[in-house]
Amino acid sequence: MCGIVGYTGFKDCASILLKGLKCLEYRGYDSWGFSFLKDENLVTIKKAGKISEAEEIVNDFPRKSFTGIAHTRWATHGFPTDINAHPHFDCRMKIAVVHNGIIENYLELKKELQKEGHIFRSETDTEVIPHLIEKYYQEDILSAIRKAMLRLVGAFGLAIISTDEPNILYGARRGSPLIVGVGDKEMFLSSDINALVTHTRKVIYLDEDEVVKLTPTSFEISTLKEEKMQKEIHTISLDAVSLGKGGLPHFMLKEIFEQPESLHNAFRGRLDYGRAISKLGGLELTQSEMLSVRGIKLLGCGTSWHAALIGKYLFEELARIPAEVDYSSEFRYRDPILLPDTLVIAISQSGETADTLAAMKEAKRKGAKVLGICNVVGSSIARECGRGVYLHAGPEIGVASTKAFTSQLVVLTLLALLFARMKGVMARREGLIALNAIEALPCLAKRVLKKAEKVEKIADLFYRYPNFLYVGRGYQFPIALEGALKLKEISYVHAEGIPAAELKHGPIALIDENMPTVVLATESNILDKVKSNVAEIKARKGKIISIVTEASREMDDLSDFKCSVPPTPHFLAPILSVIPLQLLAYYIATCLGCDVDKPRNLAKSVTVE
Amino acid sequence: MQVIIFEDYLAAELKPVTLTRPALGVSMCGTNLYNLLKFKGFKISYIVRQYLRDFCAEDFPNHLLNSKDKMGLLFINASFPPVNRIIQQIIDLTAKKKPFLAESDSRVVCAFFPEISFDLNKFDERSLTNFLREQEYEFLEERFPLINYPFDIIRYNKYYFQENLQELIKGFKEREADVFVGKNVQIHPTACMDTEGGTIVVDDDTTISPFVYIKGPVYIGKNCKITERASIKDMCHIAAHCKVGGEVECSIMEVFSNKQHHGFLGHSWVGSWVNMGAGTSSSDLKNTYGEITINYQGKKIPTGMQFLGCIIGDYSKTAINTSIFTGKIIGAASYAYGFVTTNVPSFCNYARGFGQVTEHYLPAVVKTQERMFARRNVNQTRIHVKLLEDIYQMTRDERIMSTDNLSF
Repeated sequence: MCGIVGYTGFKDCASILLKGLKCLEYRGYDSWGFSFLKDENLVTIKKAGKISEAEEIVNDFPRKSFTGIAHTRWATHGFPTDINAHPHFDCRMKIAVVHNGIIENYLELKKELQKEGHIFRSETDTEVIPHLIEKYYQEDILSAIRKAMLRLVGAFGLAIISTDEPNILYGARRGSPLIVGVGDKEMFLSSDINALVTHTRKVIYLDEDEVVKLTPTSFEISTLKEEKMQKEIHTISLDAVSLGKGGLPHFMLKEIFEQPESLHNAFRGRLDYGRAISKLGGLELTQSEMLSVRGIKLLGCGTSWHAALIGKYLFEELARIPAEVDYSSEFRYRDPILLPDTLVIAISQSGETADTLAAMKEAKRKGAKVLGICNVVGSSIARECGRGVYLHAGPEIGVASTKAFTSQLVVLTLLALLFARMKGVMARREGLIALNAIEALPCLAKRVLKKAEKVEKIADLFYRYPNFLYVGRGYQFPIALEGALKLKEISYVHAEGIPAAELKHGPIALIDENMPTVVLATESNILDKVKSNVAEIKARKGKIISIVTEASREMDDLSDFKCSVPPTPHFLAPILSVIPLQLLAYYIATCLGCDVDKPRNLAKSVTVE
Repeated sequence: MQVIIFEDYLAAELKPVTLTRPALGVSMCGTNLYNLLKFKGFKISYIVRQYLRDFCAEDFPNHLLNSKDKMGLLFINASFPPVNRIIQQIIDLTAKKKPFLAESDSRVVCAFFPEISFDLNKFDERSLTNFLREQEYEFLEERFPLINYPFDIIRYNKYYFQENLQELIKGFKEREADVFVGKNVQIHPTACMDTEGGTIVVDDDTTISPFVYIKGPVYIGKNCKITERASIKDMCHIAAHCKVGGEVECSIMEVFSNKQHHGFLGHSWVGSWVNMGAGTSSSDLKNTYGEITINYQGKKIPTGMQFLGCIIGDYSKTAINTSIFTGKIIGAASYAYGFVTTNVPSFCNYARGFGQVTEHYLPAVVKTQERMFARRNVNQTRIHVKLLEDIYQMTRDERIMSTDNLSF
């Protein structure tokens, strides 16, 4: 996720772009950059770091430039460095491009373009775009953009300027958001309305595969087939704007609702249907190294530890590799035993978690191969382990992790699938089923989110209870832990997650009419067992909120309230069933008047041991 | 309402059955999915794998959709067994005009949208299912059957055969009690038509020779020849232009295949343009009477079946006295000699008993196709040859990967 903004008009565009970019900083903040058209030349300033912390850059901006583009980056391909910051250029530095999204086929395009003599300066996927436009550019830049788009696989929102056409700004989109702002003798492009509202409230939403040509006084929108489109100009109301939160009251809620997109980004370009396997670029393990892995040790803290626990189930069931999970903080100080050929997987959203970093270093010291799963490109853990898989979830600002967690689960599933297919323990057909089910996750997550109101109503009825139990079995046991943690973190309500069958070994003593229980009862081969565990709660007058599979009536008699999630293979069910639990925690916290984005005593990334 | 039959991302995994035909054209229970829906009066459009489109255009006309109109569309997975009762159950559900979708085994089985604009050309077997999942609908509670593995064809054929035939007899003439015939059917007076177990249907221009024994339910397609003393029993589906002799039980033979001589074929599926030499027999029961497992994609899959013969891909041939062991799969365009004790990859000369398994090269297969077609007055066109070329490439991995444990 990145933020882009573009301007063409009769005002000095530097300060407009700077102000707009600051409004988009929530979309990414590891580096920033500007390109201005000035006297038929490009003037570019770009740097690693946060735009809000970049001081006195205004002094470097050119005066009397009336067309420009700007970008605030959240790295996906290439570390956050000055060179990797956008805009990116063609060989002759005549075309400048800023990009939000991921180009899946950039490696093959880059090779092709390099063969043709194009010189690349950065490690980004984006840089193929200006070079492609350069390749197809003869007389008409618009048709070159269209031809380039036909070659691109992936998601993009683009803003493009060229020294050949001063005062003209081009935009294009597929998958990623991009809107046109229509002002009085000025036009804007932006990833969202936040950057525009101080200038105009008239916007046009671009549809898939549309290209727009903007001059200060006109806009022309066309499709890839060169059909001109008549678009409606929408006037947005001010209450739709909530800085950075996409109209939602909290970052956490916004991030919960972003999951269809973040899930997509976690597997984008990583599914290989031809071989029925996943492909993960940053593993840096040879096939024989992978085949020699005889055990897996997963490390994490908090929510990442819950993801690790599901990782254990995945690696053991799908890939038949014995796996163990450790709290990073516990692993380090007990002189752990790492058997030969153990792969250590360190999981951290920020990549800066001190406990996980230290545990990973300890594992490395003991000679283990370490692999990181992080969201932040270029973070300490990513750099330290040298091999890893990024989540591409975009910045997560809410302290309680939501979208990073579900992305971690996708990446762990892709890893388990890779090992399973490579080792030959999973038939091609099963591999295809897994790939298709992973590909379906974004639309299924959307389906779950459409029922948020129902969860809100349940929260309204339950927020006064001081204690909650969360129970689940198999893959859903870690989700019970995660659901309870979410509630604890943001609503300060005491909650415990336990394996459903453990109830009878102690916790059932807690059950009475004042102890509601959240039951994860999606379809699986152990649903009958879960049902009998729940029957024991019901018999003790406990209230039951159950998470069930849509169209399944199995839990009807036992549940007081039901939230349903669409059917998916059992090993992917956690990704969908955690969403109602995130929403439940969120709505209970808001009912209780808690500060959801900044819960007391907690920090987003824990950089102390 | 318009029906769209779609192959999903798993249709290709039914090879060798679906290597040379779309899943909607797999024969069983006296029909196939396309013909059943056509029989029920629907205009049918379909989405199949790209390389099969030209090939199946003639047998299965693809009705064009006007993408700009919003209309009621019923999507049915091509791997759905062609069972009239269940199809009717789905059609009845559309009467409520409410969108629905049903899944089984992580696959979309069917979906209905009373108002949707849809462009057939935009989708392929991989992208369609998730497009359907993205729409607004109710999930159906029902779990419908789907053909997930090649042996499911034998399973469902046996299970639904008789009830399906009861519907399909419409339009046939009842020659004697429970024996239904088409036009120009010749049944020798000495032939015994035993309908105690179920209905017998014999389609147009077919000849039943002297001393043949047919035990229903059985469906025999158009222009077939059942040779003297043949015994065709229990849930056999013989598609058009086949020549069949010997003993055949609970099996399916696709069009233009020959099994003219003695030998037993039981609980098996035989593709098109297959020739089985005299004395070829398949085992469909283990000596232990135990559950049959098959070797599928390198893994042993328990079938849950006590009776299962073999699966033989299109254009394959067996020599005289070939013996095929229980639950074995022979790919397309392979020649088998002697004992078939393992799976046979496509385009192979398989004489494992004599220590020889070699590649059967494409030009030889194309030449044989030409000779076979000529005998049956069929023109070998560029489309036929192209299909052989395509499947030769697609099955390359099978031949490279086959070692002692030959598998698909």
